[in-house]
Amino acid sequence: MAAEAMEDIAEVYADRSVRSVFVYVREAHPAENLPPLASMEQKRDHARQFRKEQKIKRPILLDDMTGSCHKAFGTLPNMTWLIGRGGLILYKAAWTRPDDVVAALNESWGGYQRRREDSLMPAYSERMIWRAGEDDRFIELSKRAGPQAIEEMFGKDGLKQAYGDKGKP
Amino acid sequence: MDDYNYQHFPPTGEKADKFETFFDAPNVGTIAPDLALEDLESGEPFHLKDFWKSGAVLMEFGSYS
Repeated sequence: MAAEAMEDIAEVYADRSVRSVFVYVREAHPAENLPPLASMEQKRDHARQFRKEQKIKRPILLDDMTGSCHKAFGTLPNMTWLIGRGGLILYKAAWTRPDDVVAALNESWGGYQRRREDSLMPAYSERMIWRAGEDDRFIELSKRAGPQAIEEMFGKDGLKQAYGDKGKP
Repeated sequence: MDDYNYQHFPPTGEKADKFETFFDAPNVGTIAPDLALEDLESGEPFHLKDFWKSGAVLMEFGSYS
């Protein structure tokens, strides 16, 4: 749900030695129009549709069918990881919140780049962040996947919100 | 494979709304795992370590749904 803002971030930080990619994993809310993935060709088709309709400019990398990469990085549906030179993990977020990503880029990657000239030493912190529920937005965006995605999150009330009293498209 | 690419949300046997699986992933300050992914554009395999040879990589995970 943060892909558009992440596109902007990718563009801004591209000239600061940060390459941005989108890792396409399993369908989080499979439904009629975006069914569960059964083959790599289907995954390619879904990813191409995503790239075209969401105007994604970042390279899209496809995980394998068993989710090897997804599982190695935590299996959650909308994570963001920032990895520095040599593979050093600088930031990991269980949910992508663009303003938090920007803060991490400025602090973690910015500090890494300035560490010698500013005599910086690494330190470590953890914190809870909060994200908006965005139920209305989820329902609107999930129309592209299909009624199943909406019903499995919000039941019949969600279907009525999406499609009116008839509860279906 | 079928369990991973589940038919219905939430996936059975997974704590999809919790962070447990995330806690098991590598920590900040350690070295990230190197895995091979497929570049959608070229169809060629791509190793994550190739990204971090020269700079940083920002990886967003997700899908269209």
